[in-house]
Amino acid sequence: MTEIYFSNLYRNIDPVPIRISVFVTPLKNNVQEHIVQKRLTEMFHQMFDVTCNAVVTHGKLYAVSLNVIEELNEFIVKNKLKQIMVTTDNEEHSKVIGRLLYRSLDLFFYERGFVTIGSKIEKGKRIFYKNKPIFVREVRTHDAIFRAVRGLRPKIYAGAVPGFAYIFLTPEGAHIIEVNEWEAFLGQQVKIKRNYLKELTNRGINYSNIFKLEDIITNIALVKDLYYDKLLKVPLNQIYVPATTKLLSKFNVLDSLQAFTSFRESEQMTEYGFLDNALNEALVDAQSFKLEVGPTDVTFCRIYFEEDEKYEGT
Amino acid sequence: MKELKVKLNRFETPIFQLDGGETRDPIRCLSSGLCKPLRKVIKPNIRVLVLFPEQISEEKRNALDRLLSSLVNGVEEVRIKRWPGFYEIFGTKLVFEHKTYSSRDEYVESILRTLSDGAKAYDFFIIYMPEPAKSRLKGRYFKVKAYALVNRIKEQIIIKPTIDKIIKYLNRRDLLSYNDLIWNFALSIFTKIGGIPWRLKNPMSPTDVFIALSTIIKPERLGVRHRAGIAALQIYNNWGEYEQSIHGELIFIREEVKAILNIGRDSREDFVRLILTVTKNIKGKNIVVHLSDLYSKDFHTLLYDTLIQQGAASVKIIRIQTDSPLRLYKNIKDASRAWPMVASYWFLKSGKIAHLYTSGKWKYYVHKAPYAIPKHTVRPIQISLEYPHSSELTLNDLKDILWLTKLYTYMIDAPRARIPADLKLCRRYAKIVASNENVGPPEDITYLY
Repeated sequence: MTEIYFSNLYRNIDPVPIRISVFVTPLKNNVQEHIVQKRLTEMFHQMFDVTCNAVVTHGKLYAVSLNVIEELNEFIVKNKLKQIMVTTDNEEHSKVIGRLLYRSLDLFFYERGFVTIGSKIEKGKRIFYKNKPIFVREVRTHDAIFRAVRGLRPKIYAGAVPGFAYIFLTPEGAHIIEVNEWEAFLGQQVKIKRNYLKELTNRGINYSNIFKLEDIITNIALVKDLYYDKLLKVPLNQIYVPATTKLLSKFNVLDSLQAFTSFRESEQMTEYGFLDNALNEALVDAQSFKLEVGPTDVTFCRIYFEEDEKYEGT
Repeated sequence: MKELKVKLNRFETPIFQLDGGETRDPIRCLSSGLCKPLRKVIKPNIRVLVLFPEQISEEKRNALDRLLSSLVNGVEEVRIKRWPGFYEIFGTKLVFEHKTYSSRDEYVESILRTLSDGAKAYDFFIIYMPEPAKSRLKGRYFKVKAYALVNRIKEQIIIKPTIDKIIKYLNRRDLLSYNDLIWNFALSIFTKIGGIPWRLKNPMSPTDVFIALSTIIKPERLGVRHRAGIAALQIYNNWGEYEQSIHGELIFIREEVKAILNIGRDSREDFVRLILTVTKNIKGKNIVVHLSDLYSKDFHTLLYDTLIQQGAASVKIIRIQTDSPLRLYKNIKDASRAWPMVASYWFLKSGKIAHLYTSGKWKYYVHKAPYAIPKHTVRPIQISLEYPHSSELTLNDLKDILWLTKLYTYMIDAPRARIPADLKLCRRYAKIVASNENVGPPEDITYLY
């Protein structure tokens, strides 16, 4: 007997093999890739436009439109600019395709009203969700708002199989604590925001990243570094409370939030049930969708899995 | 619209040897009385001290008592994989005594004192710690674990979520889930007191040696990218049996964005020394290294070259991730009936990247999981060949990973045990040694259970 399974996996069906038209030009000598990447990210977040889609890798700038090239004039060797078709036939171009697709998917979700939160499972990846009850559950108390968020975490494999790009849209949840009353969190674990940690590094201050909130003096938090056993003064707006299991449990919200983020808040809910809902929020047809990567449209189709009864390889 | 279908293949689950027979489903075999454990415990009676806090709610105390009573007397009303009681299955009696410890903030000290005082009088300790999770490094849970490892004390810690689960199962009359929990608990105790419930019928092949590698990065920062950390290595033979452990404190370089790890220049020699210490007898052998963290190419090359120079015939470095992004669903209304079979696999990229179900439905119970588990979706693991690129990820590599997963004895087919025992236990070892530098290699792997 053959079993058929739905999946959360999509693969390109047009064009096959995947190929995308891009402009490419080398970066000037001494220009560091991460500086250009930072500018690209800023541009993207200011404009949210398909023309901002670009990638910096292997000392080159790849962009789907000339707008980006113009904007980043100061970093590139302009007279070497050319337009090429990239495919997944080598590591560099696979990386370019993967990143362009990820950015297109970003736009695709933003245009449909999704917002993001960082993934706990995969560093640097994001979960896309909407401010709707199917995605967000809140428990409000006098001390804080405890929020459970669930959404879709995209992951793209481009170039693993020549000619193809795979997109996984994985259901995933996360928890957030928005503090109203800091006094209630005295003695609890806190985190310092990344930018302020950089400032501490620049000031030559050693820290471990395991902090406890000791006291609050007006808008300054007195934070104890538990590893180095020393106190740091940090502006209150530069710290946050991580939504750990321990803390959620202490405030008696763990069970209800966890039930939501693990897709079992009601008898009717399953992980598939959520995926189905989320896909319907994002796609006209859950079986396929089209990503606009500059002038190139790439159509993705959902994959079904067939499981056979017979055994292999034993 | 074009419809895309791909095939999910499957191989057989391992066959286990028990006293009286061989089976693919040892719990079913033990439960039915057709098999007995491969090696029983010599002592007819095991003296167990049960420790719990002075201040414990009546509900939790009742749940703990019920757990102990079921462990000894069995779970009535469950027919599938019935748990008839510890003596009936393992031929050894558990004799309980109870003691409370101080409920104050630093209650761990009180537990450790009791363990120290009772080490000679008792064979085993069951400790209820009201912790919401297994805790951070150097937290209470790991303090007790490290103490037990250093002092060779056999214990089983029960944390708050386990007691909560028992209360929930009993309130809902979910006796199948309760029965599973008792089986897992009992198997854990049995292996820790020296019993061997089963072993593989056949060795794994063609791999001769499995090396598990796990890294724990410590909280302190040593500059922008340099971090101190623990690297732990464990060796397992091709029966999946534990042989040796080693660990060392090294300096790592961590790329923040993707968390890729490399060894700092000053620690390379120390890392090579660690590898050489545990791989003295690998000449001419086929080695597979299992790891789960993301390491740089430079790191893989160093590991590979060291093993080859040590005389290994072949080396493969395989990364196993529990967080595969793939999800498969059969039935949209009832997740517990939606899982693919155990040992189903799919190669995203032939010879390089695969997804493998190490938990899910079993052959005997096609329409449901063998165990009653909450309705989470069962997830595959992702397996990728990291190094050398000229090599291939084979079906044998996947099979070995599945077999090693089933050797994590006390969670034989629960979805919680999804990664191979070598990797899981190596990570646990790394966490314990990162919490307490006095801990040396475990003489017996069951200390890490």
